[in-house]
Amino acid sequence: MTIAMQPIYTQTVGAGGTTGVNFLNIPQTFTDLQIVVSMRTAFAANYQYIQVFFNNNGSNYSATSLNGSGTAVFTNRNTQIEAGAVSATATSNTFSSVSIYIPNYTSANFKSYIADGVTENNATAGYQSLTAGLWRDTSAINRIDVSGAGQTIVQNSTVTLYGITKG
Amino acid sequence: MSKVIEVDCSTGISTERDMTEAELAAQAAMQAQAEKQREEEEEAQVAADALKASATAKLSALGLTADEIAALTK
Repeated sequence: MTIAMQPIYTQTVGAGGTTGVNFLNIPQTFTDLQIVVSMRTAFAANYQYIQVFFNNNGSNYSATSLNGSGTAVFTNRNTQIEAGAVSATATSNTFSSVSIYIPNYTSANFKSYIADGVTENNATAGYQSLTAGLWRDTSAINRIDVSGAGQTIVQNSTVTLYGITKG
Repeated sequence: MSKVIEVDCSTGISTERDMTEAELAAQAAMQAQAEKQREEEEEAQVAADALKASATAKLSALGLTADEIAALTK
């Protein structure tokens, strides 16, 4: 069986930052998609969220997350796709590492996804999350919007979209 | 004005543009929701820490050593 993973595009955030990175006209020729994010935001808090929408649609998401904060473990239910992003109070020059995998993104079924992410910080507080989610929509995914949940994404953050083909 | 980057995957062209009024409104809503969620998570963590401290104190009052308490909570 041949499995190929092909980078579709890598966007590196330039000077001045940005609010979001939107991938439009995603090819419908792969089997699965994967988004890999290295992000830091300018928000002054312990952590911030990376937020993702499919097809410019913010509705019909359901997710269950297992989270760690460095001192506690907790779970939560959510109605959006998200993972942790490093924020302004974390150790300088650190970025979060996040992966979101979307199998069968062109199917006519609801779309499942798995999101795992960690923040980086040279301190006790460091956030991790593992999320299983579902987008209750039968549309093929042709657009993915990645944001810092309304906060500025700082320079040198990267967002890469991969297409995976299963043979 | 906030900016957003759009990548056209069919051409490989990346452009940056100003956000629309609708996008700015959505951005404000996302900020509010994220802040609410963060507050809830932090409150849950504080509550969990308080429960853990209370339980540890009670076990200690029963005569358990710190090592014994640590063994129970692992």
